[in-house]
Amino acid sequence: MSVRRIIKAFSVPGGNLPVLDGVSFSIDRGGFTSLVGPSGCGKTTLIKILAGILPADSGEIAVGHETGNLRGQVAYMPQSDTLLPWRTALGNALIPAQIDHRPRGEAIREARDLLDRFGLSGFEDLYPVELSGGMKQRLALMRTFLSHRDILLLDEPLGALDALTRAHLQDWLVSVWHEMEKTILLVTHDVEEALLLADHVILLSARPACVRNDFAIHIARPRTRSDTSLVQQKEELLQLIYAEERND
Amino acid sequence: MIRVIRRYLATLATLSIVFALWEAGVRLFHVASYILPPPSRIIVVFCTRFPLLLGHASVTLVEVALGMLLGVLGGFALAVLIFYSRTLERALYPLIIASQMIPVFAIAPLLVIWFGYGLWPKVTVAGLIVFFPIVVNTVDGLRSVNEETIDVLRSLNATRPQIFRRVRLPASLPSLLSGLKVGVTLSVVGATIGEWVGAKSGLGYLMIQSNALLRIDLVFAAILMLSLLGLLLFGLVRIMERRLLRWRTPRNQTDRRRTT
Repeated sequence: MSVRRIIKAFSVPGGNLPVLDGVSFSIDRGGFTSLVGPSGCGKTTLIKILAGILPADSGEIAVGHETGNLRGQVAYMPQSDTLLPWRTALGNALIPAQIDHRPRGEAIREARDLLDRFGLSGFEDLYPVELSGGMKQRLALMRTFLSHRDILLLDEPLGALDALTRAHLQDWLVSVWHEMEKTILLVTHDVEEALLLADHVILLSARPACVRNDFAIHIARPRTRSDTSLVQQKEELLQLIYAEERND
Repeated sequence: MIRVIRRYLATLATLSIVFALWEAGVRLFHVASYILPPPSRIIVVFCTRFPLLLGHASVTLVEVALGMLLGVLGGFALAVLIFYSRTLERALYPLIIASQMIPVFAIAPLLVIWFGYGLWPKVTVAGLIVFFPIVVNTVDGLRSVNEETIDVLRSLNATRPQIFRRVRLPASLPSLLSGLKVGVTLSVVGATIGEWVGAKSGLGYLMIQSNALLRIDLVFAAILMLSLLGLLLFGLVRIMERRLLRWRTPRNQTDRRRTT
């Protein structure tokens, strides 16, 4: 997927607020890319444009040789809890199949097969209020994976979790990504998370955002949080972000 | 059964105290039964005239049920229109709210002139009363959806009818049912008022007739029947609510909730 010169401004009382100022990057098929940047820099706006929910003022997005609006071609998982509270875990997992009018029996079978991998077997008939925070995020991720889209846009999927659950799910997410062969673009404010998971990190500048830095992570997997080169790169990346925040 | 009795023990105790004081007061001060009959007499009349009361109650029940059906369907349809069309919202919403300043009871006599003494004026009064809480609550319910949930469906290329059916409609259900709970008790009052103004049967009619004949015991018996009717309908909405909104109470935590 390649993104070229995306520009976006919001009209606010008293003028225009430029948010994205010519964002360009490309990500590899099957890769795991992290998008980091100072808070409020427009990461969520960018990912909504990529998901086809928000129109860009100008710029171009292409997947393979196709350009244009990506709506319906990528799966998007927003930051907040978007599970439907009146549906059971299984019912929530079936939403993409229902939207796409896929046969129900097959969709149920497919969802059941994934339950175990997502640590939800035995919980399929519970409602979201009955699930823990970590389970809810795994369920939302499972729903995203079941969308049959190759590209997954995840906006802070682990942001609202406690540190321990978060650490567990980070490791788990990497293994699921390996198995499922999806292309993932993960928005995060957590530099360590970006380095731990991704093979490619994109650093956005302060608002109005453009790509400030774009680099591959060559740390061997499985990675640990105490890996010396990871710790070192984390420090460097943090310095870059602090510099951005000071410029703001 | 024992659990039900235990749950309503306090209510029953309060009622018993009130009735005991009432009974004692009436007997002590020799109040004429055409002014205030003792509760014992009301209960006797309620039992002996039960077939009569039941007959009138069934008329009122039909009026209320039809009124609620029309009020809910109309209110829901209008709420959906108001939600999806800004123009309609601007054109109608303020008027609907303003219309609530008109007491429905004031137009009940007009309805009798227009529709006669039959079923429809009462159905209309009951329906109009239910209509408002349904519209307001349903509009709020349709608006209550987390926008990012809609975003997920839109990113999957869901159509507007799909989003309505899968997200907005179920999301509006809790507030719709709250509106129904308010509406159902008021609609019983509405139908009764409709019957006061002009009717040939129904509990309201029975009350007016008995009042004119100074059969105050029968008036009270009709009031008792009316309360039971209201309770029954309220109970039905509660059951509906519990079945449809099961997902709101975590089953694995219900016990803990009860003790806190």
